[in-house]
Amino acid sequence: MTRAAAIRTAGTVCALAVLVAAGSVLGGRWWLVALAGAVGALSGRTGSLAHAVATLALAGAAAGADVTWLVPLLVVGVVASVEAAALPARATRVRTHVPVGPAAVTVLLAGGVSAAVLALAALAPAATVPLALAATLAAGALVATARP
Amino acid sequence: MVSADARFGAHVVLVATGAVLAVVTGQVAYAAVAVPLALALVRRAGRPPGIAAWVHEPPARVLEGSRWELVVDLAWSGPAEVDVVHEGVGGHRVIGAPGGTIDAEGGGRLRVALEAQRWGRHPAGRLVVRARRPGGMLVHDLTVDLPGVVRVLPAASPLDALLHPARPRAAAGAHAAPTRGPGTDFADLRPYVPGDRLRDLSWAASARSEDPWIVVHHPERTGTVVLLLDGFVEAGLPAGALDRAARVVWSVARHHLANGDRVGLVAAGPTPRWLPPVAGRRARWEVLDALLRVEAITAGRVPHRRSAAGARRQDEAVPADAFVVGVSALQSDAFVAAVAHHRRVGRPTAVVGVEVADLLPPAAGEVERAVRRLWRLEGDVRRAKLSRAGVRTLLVADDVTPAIRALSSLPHRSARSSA
Repeated sequence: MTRAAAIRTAGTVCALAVLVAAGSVLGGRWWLVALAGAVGALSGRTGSLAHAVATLALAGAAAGADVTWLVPLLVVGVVASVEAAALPARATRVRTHVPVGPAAVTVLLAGGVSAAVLALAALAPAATVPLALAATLAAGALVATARP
Repeated sequence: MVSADARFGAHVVLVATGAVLAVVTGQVAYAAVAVPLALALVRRAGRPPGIAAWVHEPPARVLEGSRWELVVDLAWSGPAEVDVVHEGVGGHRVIGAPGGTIDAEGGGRLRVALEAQRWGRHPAGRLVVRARRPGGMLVHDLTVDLPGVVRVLPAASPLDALLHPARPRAAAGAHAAPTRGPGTDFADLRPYVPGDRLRDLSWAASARSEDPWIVVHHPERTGTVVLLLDGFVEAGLPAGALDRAARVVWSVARHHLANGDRVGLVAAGPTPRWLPPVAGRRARWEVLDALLRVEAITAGRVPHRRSAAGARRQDEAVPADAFVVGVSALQSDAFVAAVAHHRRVGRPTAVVGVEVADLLPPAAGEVERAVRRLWRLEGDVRRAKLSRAGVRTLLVADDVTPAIRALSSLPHRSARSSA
């Protein structure tokens, strides 16, 4: 197995494990949503949209079922899958090995920030959504200025 | 062109949808999905840098077969990961990696090892660059045309014989003149007359005859060689035919210039080139420059019709005593006619026919074999035409030495006396 294939497999396995965990915890029709997300994760770059939508749906269901600890895991799963799918494509004729370290750090940071948002929500429930919205809008504005 | 990689779309969808759902439903879970991805976007969607590149001046003299290093400096602002690939210089082989990744702040240097394989003027090529901020999702793809031209000089075969013009010039040089005078080549013996130098006495002849005898010499003079390069060789012939012809031209020119002769160059072809006979140290570069221009223009196949007045001026400029040597793959009737013209007007003329059959790929099928036979027959017909015109033709492949040795011993007769 090549290094690129190994990275791709590791990211997909991580995403599938999270989706299976979510399906098991939420049960019922959420298995179908988890399955759709798994298909998206398996199809790599082309299925990342399906995986993202499934992740959002499962996050909403987790909040409804009062298992919010599942949300950071879902975030870790989707970020790991997306990063792993993109890593081999970032290789070029001269850059055959793309470092895995920064991608792994991104995955862990995403999980940590997600958990931090949930922790903040537990402390100040009323302020969390407006704060999160403000942070997201600010991020969107920053990204928009970076676009050509 | 700036584009986003595969991660960008998924991040934008998750952030936008998550934020909207968080506001609409008031669920913190959606915010917990959107916020980390929004932060990742901010951290990794930095605008990729613009790249400026400039190439270090290539060495002035690159010989066929020699190796050199192309050095390109690149500059950008801030930290970036830059993948650079050089697409190669024409007529060169890349040794090792054609590029690399520069992970640095502000800029970096790319070194590409090259081996010159084909003489001529070659553009410095272009760089294909992909730049992004470290770990960034946005990439900047661009190609940079490098300024400058690499001049690869043809490798010359070492020659051990000179072509001898019919009437050498007055200046001292390497050719024995038919006249008598001070020199080193033995011409004759004659009886001593008062006033002769004692150093010219032939002691052996004087001892045998018991009378003093004087050795008479041929003086050594410079000559003029005009080389006719058939620029049509590239039309329909395999790549390398013109290279081979030019190597012959350069071998002969270099050897004669080193011996103090004057060398002129007429490149017949789509765009004729004319370099009047020149001698001296600078002449080497003038001849090379003319040769390199022939290559550059012929490769571009620029159609050009030589005017009758221009042709006449050129013919008049070729000295009457010049040894005219045509170098050709003998695939052009116009070239054969031009060579025969020089012979007809009385100039000593010969043709070095460049063998190109070995450059062709193996014939596939009966039709192609028949075409090759016809092609060879056409060459034979042209050689026969030259022979009837009194022009000797010698075929060469890579080693030109035997042909020049054979031509150096040619007796010179005028076209009228040989007819």
